[in-house]
Amino acid sequence: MIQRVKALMRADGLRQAFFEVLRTLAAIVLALLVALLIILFTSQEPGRAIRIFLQAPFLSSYNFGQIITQSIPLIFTGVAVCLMIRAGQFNLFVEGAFFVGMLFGAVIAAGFKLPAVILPIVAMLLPALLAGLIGYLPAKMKSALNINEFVSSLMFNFIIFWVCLYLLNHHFLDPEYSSLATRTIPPAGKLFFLSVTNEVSSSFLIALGLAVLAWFFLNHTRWGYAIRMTGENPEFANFIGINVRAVVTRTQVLGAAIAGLGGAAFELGNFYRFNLKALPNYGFDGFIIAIIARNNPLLVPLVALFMGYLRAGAAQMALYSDVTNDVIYIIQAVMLILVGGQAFLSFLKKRSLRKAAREGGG
Amino acid sequence: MDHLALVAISKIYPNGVVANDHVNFTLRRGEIHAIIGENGAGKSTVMKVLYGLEKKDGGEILLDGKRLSINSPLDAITYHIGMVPQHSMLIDEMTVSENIFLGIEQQSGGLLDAKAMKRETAELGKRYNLWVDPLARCADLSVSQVQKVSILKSLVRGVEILILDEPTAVLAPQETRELFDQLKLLKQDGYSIIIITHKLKEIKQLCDRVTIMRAGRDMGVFDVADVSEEQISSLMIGGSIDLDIHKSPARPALDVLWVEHLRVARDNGTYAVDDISFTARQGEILCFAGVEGNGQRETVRCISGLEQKYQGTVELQGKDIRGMKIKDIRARGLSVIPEDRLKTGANGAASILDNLSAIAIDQHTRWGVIQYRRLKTRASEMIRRFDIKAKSFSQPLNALSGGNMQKVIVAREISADCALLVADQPTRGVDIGATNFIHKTLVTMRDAGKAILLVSSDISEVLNLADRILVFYKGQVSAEISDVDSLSEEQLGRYMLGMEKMR
Amino acid sequence: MIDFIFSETFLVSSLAYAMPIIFAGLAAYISKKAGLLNINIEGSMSMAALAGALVSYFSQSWVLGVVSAVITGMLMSLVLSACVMWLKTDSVLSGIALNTLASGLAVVILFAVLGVQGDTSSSPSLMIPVLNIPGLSAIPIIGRFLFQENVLVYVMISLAVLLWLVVERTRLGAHIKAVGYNAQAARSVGIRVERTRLVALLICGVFSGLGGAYLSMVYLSYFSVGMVAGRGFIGIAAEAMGAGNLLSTLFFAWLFGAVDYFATGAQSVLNVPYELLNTLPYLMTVIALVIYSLKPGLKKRSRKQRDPKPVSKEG
Repeated sequence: MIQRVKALMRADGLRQAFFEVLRTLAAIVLALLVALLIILFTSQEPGRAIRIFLQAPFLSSYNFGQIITQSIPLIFTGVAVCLMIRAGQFNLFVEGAFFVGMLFGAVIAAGFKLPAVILPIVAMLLPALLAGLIGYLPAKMKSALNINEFVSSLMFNFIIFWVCLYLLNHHFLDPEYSSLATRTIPPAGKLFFLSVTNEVSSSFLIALGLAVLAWFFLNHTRWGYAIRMTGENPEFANFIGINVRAVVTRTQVLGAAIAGLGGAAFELGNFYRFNLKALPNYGFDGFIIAIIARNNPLLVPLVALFMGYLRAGAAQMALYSDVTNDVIYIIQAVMLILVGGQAFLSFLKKRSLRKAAREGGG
Repeated sequence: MDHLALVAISKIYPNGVVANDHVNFTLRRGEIHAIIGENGAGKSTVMKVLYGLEKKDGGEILLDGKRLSINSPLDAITYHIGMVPQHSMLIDEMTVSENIFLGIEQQSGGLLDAKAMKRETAELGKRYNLWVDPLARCADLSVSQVQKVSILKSLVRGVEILILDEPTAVLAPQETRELFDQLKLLKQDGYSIIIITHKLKEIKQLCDRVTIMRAGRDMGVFDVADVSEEQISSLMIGGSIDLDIHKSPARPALDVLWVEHLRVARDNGTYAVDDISFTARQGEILCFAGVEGNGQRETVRCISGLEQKYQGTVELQGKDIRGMKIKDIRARGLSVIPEDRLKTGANGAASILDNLSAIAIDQHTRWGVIQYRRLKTRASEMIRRFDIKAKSFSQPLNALSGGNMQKVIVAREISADCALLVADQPTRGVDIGATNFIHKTLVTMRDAGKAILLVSSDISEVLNLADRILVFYKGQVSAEISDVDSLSEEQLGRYMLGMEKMR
Repeated sequence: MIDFIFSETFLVSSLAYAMPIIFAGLAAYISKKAGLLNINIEGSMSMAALAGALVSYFSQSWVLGVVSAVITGMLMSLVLSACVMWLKTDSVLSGIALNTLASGLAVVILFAVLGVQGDTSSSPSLMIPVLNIPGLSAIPIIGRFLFQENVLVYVMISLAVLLWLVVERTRLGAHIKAVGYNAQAARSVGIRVERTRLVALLICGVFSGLGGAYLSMVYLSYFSVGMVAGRGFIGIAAEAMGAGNLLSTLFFAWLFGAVDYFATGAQSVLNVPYELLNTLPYLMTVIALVIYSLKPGLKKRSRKQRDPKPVSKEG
């Protein structure tokens, strides 16, 4: 048995993957340790806080459902960012795009009278289209004028946020509701619940489906091929006839559209109104998830679920102990730094590669 | 006693290539010593070892008889050894005097003493006829001015031994003459100078002694006065590939590529390609012979669509390709094996399968979905046919050896159904087996009626493969040879080194 | 409208709004000189603002508050350097990660130290005072603008001058610029690239720290989560438009601040909803970036005859 494993290990690709998994696990453990240390220092009853954090998601079916619910936006934005990073673009407009998706998903679903299956579909596709159109701006700025897409997409996030807030406060308000929100989404517009007790909606299925679709798109279609080649070696891509500029633009538009779709799906699946007053930060989080998932859309749901678990735990911890749930950000940050760090644990990889070379396999 | 002595220097690269094989080199005080050899002969490597840019695997460096250990350029400079690199190591955005004093800036009272540095730059420049405006931005300098600044940079750090790496590679004749006068001035002042070059004529004009290198070994050192250009060239240019390609005579047919009055300008106003016209025909291997840097690269770039700014006409299969997208040019029947493999010709991070299939993707797509099964069959066939040593085609390309990587690129380009194949230095840095294979493949393609355009600076490769030769020298065609069989190596060498011109 | 723009209030207030962006721009300026795009200015300012607010409240000394803010900024730079040069994480990723870390850490520390969420308004910071030069400050229009400004304004001016001196007239500055233009060439003459970059980042941290201090001790009298509101990034954009020129960077930073002030001030004057006005600074940045990139003369001339070496961000 061990011999078989060792033989498998000699295969280059598998060895590489093994090390990546090891590094990721090490990063997770270290990040959690940092968080636990912080909790230790800042809480009056750290033991209890930590227990709640780690266990609460499993203690009730609602909490367990929260793991999945919290992961849904992260899957959408994570997949969108994956695609864009594979094309070599560090574009963060997914934040604004997701926000647009949420607002317009709610507005369209509440505003149009359409039959039950068609309404949610329309209410998801239109915001996706809109998000893609807006996302075309920073995308074109990069491909035609070489303006750093990171800075421009950040600016657009803020612009879109304020424009959406304006639209909400001045055009889309529900006059009969007590606080600032859009009108209720009718049952025809909602996405069905997978399980009513957990409040896990079918938007989760859409997210998973999108992740699989994105993986297939990236690895088995000619457009995905063009994206991968452009991101890995744009000179080569140009050399074999790929229109690099077009790929750069279209990928960023696609990413924005996916995020828009995700926002609408998330809204329709889990809420009755849109009432956000601040950017929910799903964009940045999606970015971190994409990096930890090594830019592989198939791995995004896994990482997102893990993050969802952490978030659900942190939310419970915030409710029942004296630690705020922003500890999550610290964990995410440490994980990102460690996973992104080429030097992190690379000595392990080098030692073993040398050993393999000596053994004559490699 | 010799000023400098390199004894039995050896250098082996990790991929097994022996760059230097027990090379000996001596330098006398106050002499100008040339080290000459073809590309890949090892002359740059041995000097890089001396200057601390490469680590030697064997041998010793002796300065005035004392053993030295040089691990970095800074060590070399402390021993008063300086190098003027072939490609500019200047910071474009800074001025001449800022670059010269970079790292050793003069200060007065905590602030930079710009006036003193400017003064010294001017003085040093005037003394050795190397004057450049100290306040000029390096981005605005001509190539010969950049060279002057690089020399000054070494001088100001107190070097006594100056190494110049291919200094006349892109200089105009007048600039070359000016450089020689400056070097002679330095020599008079007691500097010892090493020149790495492949230009025979200039050695005769400038140098006292010459060390000849070939295939990693030194072929001896000679006083320039005692040896003729023919003797140097015969020691220098030996076939590095002795293989017999049995080639039936060519049967060229229709024109495939038509190039007329092609000119490509450099930034400084000179022409890299200066009025070249030729045709390439089906069933014929046309070879661009010549030392690198004489216009071949620019010509190939124009043909492949990578270079859009040119004067003249380029027609592929009857259609003017100016302004065409690369995808369309390829569809028109062009395949290219590019000169720099990893940068342009391949995607190292992608799998071998992805690299092999790069051009065929569009033909094997149904409704956007890539038909990988068919591509995998195709890839397996290609791996078998070209004897590519790889464990599986899902491996990333950069897991392969250099020769196998080149085979992948060759396999890909050849398997596209092209009318014209451009092969730019296809066997450089490739092992014997793969080289042989690539040669046989080119001949097979030619026999199948393709037009082959081979760019090579290896004389025996040229003589073995070409049906027709265009010799490039300084942006023009110095000779066109249709009767390759009766062409001797020496004669070809003379055309290549600019010693003779046919038209 | 016109006399609104040329009024004394406008001059003073536009500067007040612009100060955080100016500090961010100066921070971006020095890190760009060393060849680094420091995304983390935003997070550094946030942490520094928190530090300034807390320390000034507990110590009841604004000087200590400012000092702690500066130290915090420098600490963040140190962490960023460690990630980029030691762990070898890509600098953009590190910047994003540290921004995320800062936002989480700020809330956690806030909660742990003061037991509140959101802001420190219950424990207000000790504000940095205004320096008033009597007599001169009575000059109409420009009097208040020049002679009755906050201490940090005068600090900013002196430090900006000092920064320019260091960059253009000292050895350190020459080395920083060399590393930023061509790290390979700098290394070949013996310049210690990593060490030089670290020094530049530390200087950057000083300015981020001051920017944070201004936010929580002048602009507002407390720290609030998210108070930086993208000003770190606008500072980066201002530097991009300043294209390496200190005065231009300062000008654009001030311009963005003026637009920000105009957006707020114009609410009462014009009948435009405040949400749309809030987009103005960001919108202006985008438009400015586009215009700047369309100007042909600013593109560097390529030198094709020498082998173009690919320049990586890290050199």
